[in-house]
Amino acid sequence: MKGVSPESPSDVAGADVDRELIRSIAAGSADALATLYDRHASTVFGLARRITGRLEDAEEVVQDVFSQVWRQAGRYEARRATVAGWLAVVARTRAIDRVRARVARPDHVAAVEPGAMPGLSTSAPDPEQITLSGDNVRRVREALVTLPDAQRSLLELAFYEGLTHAEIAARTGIPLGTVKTRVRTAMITLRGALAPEGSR
Amino acid sequence: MGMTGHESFDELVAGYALDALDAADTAAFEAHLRECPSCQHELTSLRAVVAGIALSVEPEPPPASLRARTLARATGQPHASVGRQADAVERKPLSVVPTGPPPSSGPSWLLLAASIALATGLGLYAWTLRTELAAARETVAEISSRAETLRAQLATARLDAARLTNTLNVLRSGDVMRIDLKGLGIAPGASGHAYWSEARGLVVDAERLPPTATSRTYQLWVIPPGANAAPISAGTFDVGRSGTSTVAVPLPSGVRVVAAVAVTEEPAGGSVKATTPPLLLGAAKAGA
Repeated sequence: MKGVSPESPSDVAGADVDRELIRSIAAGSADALATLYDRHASTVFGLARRITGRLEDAEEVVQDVFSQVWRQAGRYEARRATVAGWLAVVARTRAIDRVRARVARPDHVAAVEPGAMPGLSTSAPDPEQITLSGDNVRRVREALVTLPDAQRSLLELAFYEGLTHAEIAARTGIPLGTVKTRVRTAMITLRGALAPEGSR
Repeated sequence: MGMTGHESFDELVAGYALDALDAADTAAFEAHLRECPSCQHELTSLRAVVAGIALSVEPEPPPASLRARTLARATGQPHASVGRQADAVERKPLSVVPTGPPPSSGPSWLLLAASIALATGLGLYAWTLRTELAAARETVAEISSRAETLRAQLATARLDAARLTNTLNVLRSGDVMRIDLKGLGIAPGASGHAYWSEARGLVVDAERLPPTATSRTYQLWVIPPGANAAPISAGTFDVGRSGTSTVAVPLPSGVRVVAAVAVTEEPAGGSVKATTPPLLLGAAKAGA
C-alpha cells in the first residue's frame, strides 16, 4: 500500500483557483464561468470526443457540462472534491447519455432528457463526491495499462461506450456474472492504485 | 445462484459508479444506497476511480467558436463585449471634486488592476485598501463638512462637463484607447468599458452596477502610469434606470495618460480618496 503523497504545488494552486471560480460562478459571475471554460474545456471536449466519436456531439456535451456547472455551482462543496474531477465525471455522464440516445433513436440526436428514455443515466453524482489529485490521475492511467486484458477490455466497454453489464455480456458472449465480477475487480484494482486523499 | 444479504449490493456498486447497471438494478441499488452508509462510502471511492479514468483521457482543445456558444447558452447572456452602442447619456449632475496634489501614499491600484487583467474572473480577497480604510473614513468625515462648497461648484462643473459630453467625439478621435472593466467585490456581474483620448477626454460605460442608496453615489477614478500612482477622481455618477450608465468627462487636469480606471461607491458628493474597494476595475493592456 503506497504511503500518502502530497499533491504537487501546482495541483494545490490549480484546485484553489478552481474553487474560487466555482464560488464566483455560484454568485452569478459569467466571467468566472468563462475562465473555468478556458481551464477545463479541453478536458471535457477530449473526453466527450473520445466517448461520442462525433464533433457535433462533443460540442453539445461541452455546452451541457458548463450549463450544468452554471446551475449547480452553488451546491459544490470544496472540502471533499476537486472541480476537475467533478467536470470530468459530468462530461462522461453527458457523453454516455448522448451515445445512448443516438443508439436508441439513430435518426434523432435530440436534447437529452434524463428519465425520458430507457438506459439514460440518472445517477449524476453530486459534486462533493469526487476527489482526485494530479498524481492520482497518473496512477490510474498506469494501473489501467497493467490491468489484465480480460478485465480492461470490459471496463473500457463500460466506461467509453456506456454499455451496461447486460449489453457487455451480449456483445462479448461472456456470462453476465463474469462480466460483473471482472468489471468490479478492475475498478477495485484501480482504486488500490490511488493514494489516500488525506483526511476526509 | 442466489446472493443473500448485502453481497448482492456489493456486486452492484462498481457498476453503479460506471452507470453500467440496467434500470431494474439501478432502482434497486438507489433504494438501498439511501439507507447504507457502507455503500455510500464505497461508491464515493469508486467514483473517484471513474473521475481518474476520465481525467486520464487525452485532452483536446475544442473549436474556438464553441466558447461563445457555450457561455451564452449556459448563462443566457451574450458574452462577447465588443462594440456596444452607448446608451443615452444620463445627465445626472456631475460633481468635480477638487483634486489638489495627489496624495503621496495611495493604494497601488495599478498593480492590482494589472493582476486583475491576468487573473480574470477571480474574486478579490486580499484588497489592500482595507488597511487604509480607517484613515480614509476620517477623511470622509472632513469631506462631508465641505459638501456645501462642492454643491456650489456644480454649476461650473456642469458647464465644463457639457463641453465634453459628446461621447462620439471621444470615440471617434484617432487616438482613443479602450480599457475593459471587470466587476469585482459585491458587483461581480458588472462590466464596462472606458475610452479615453488625451485630447478629447474620457467616456465610461458600465452595466449591471446596482443602484446606490440615496446618500451614496458612484465615483470614477483614473490612475496614471507609475507603480505608486494614486487614483485621481474623474467625477461621480449614478446608475441609469436601464441599469447601464454612460459618463463623459474631461480627463482630470494634469492627466495625460490613463493606465487604469476604477469605479467605487462613495458618499454622495464623492470623496477625495476612495473609501471602498473598486466595483469596476480595468488596466490598459501592456504595450498599448
